[in-house]
Amino acid sequence: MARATGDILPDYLIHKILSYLNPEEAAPMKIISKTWLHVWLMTKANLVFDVRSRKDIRIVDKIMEIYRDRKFPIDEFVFQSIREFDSREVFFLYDKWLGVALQNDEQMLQALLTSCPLIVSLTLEHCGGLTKIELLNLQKIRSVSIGMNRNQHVKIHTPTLEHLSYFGARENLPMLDIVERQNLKSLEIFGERRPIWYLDQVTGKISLMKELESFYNSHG
Amino acid sequence: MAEASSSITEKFFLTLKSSDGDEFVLEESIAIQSITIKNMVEDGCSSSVIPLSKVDTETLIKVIEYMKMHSSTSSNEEEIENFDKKFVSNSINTILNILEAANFLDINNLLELCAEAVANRIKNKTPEAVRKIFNITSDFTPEEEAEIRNETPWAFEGNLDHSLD
Repeated sequence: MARATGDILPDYLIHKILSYLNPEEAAPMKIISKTWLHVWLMTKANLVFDVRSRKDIRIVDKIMEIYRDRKFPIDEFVFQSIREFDSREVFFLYDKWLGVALQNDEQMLQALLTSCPLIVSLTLEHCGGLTKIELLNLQKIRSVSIGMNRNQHVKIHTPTLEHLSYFGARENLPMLDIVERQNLKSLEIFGERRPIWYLDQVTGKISLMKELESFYNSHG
Repeated sequence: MAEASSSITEKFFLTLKSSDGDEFVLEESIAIQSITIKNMVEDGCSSSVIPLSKVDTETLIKVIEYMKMHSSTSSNEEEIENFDKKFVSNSINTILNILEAANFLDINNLLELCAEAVANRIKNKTPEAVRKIFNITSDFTPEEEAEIRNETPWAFEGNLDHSLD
């Protein structure tokens, strides 16, 4: 008898298999299926660096660049040193490395959402590290609130969505992409500038909404 | 004391029953490498046949082979090493079945052995080949798949292997 489907393999076993692959070998596996992607995102490296010399710093930097460029998920990043380095020399590197360690927040968000497909209400705030937010395949979602301090690309493709609040877009809203808004009843947009072209684009759909609320706190 | 001396040499046997209904008699000391079985023995559930509803006959034969070889007294290191090497050369489907059985039976070293074997078999294969091996139909839309590929194009380039074994 043929195996039913590999997706009946428990997450734990997929994790076990992936943990025997190095990050480069494991990366192609994220495209196998949603389950594998989810487990791949959870199968992350613990990077612990014990630094003794300037040369080590360069090695750490090289490794972090590989993780950045190849988008390997990182679970833990530890940098310890027995000696003090010139702060001007290393502080900007700390920033860079922390950025790399946190870059996978984006993937974490996707992993989180994949594991909660029936989520009803979602609030994202202070997620400045995210460059892209995608809400797809959420069958029960009704309310989304996104508070941003920069222009992330937000893509919302959730036909059940009724309430959307979007705070703090600094410029116009070229990055807000709402597909299938037939159930959208309220839309709140807080921003510094009026997103004129964006509104032009949605006004055709306003009749579909029972109510459209837009607030612009300065240039409106 | 007669009783005590007999208990040292006396061997206890357990009967394991596969999902196909076949029964296998095995020494308790060998069978309790499975933590699941060990717990059943300790809870006194082993007086009759132990049904293993998730393990078919073919898989159970392999698992028993493995447990016999790895039971502490009978084999030396080199033998075990050679056995393991040969063991993982079974077909990948067999290994996957054993992996699941090892998970259910809670035999940690067998689970690790099989997980590593599966990893070695799917290493450097195209995602399409891996899907076929696991009999998975992708649940990504073509757009989602394209996007994941675009995130890390390097992961899908190069000489990946299309074969299924």
